[in-house]
Amino acid sequence: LGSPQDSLAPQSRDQDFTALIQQVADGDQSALTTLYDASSRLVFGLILRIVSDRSTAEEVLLDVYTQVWRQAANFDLRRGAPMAWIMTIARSRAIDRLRSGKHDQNKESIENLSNLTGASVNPEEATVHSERRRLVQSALDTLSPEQREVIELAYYSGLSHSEIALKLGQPLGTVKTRTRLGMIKLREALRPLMEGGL
Amino acid sequence: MKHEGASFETTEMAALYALGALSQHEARIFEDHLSTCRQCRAEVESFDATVSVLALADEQEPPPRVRDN
Repeated sequence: LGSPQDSLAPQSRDQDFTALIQQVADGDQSALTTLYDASSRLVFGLILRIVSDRSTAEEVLLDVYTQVWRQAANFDLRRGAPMAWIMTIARSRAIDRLRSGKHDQNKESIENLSNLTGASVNPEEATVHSERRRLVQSALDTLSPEQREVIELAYYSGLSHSEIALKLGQPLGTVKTRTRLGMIKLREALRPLMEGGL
Repeated sequence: MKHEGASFETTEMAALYALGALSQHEARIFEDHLSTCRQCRAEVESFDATVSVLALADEQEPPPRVRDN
């Protein structure tokens, strides 16, 4: 398995993750720990972005890996890559928590959260993280503000296209078009990262 | 939703699906379609990968106490 800084999944890592999930399905706790070590930074980052509260994010993180442990046997590679499966669970649990309102109202701003770095990240990893972050940021910068808004409302706030249309007072067709064009742009801009260029 | 090649509409559905922005009813219908359409599955996979990569911007080390649980 790759080191934690390689925790996003190009194809060879997909195979490692798939094997680990299979071992987890067989009841191997050490495989769960390895999977956690390789993926939890991304998972925690996503949860934190959605719930905006660290203690809530910690609880949700624990829930996510509990669910991975319980549902590993249901993982089906034909329905998506392993990291995408884990991230889908994470997003879904985080949005459930967001909707249930059981989180601290004293939210830290995203900017503040982004500035926190993990104590155990070594300088070399920190450089890789910062480069990746820069690439994702520049991909997001290729979007128009309207495209970015609909994508963020869908992915981080868990709104459906019709809820977004209602919230923004825009026709549904406009929301769908913005989403499609924005996602195509992002897919192009992020392709180097998806192919494991870093 | 029979089609040949990635159309404007199927790309749109795949993008919305990957973002979790379809209603439950629409998502179920689209999943039925995905089970028989390799092309749309590939679209969804590429958009799934796109949203997974977005998370790189937010990577955060969780506190050790979570791992110890």
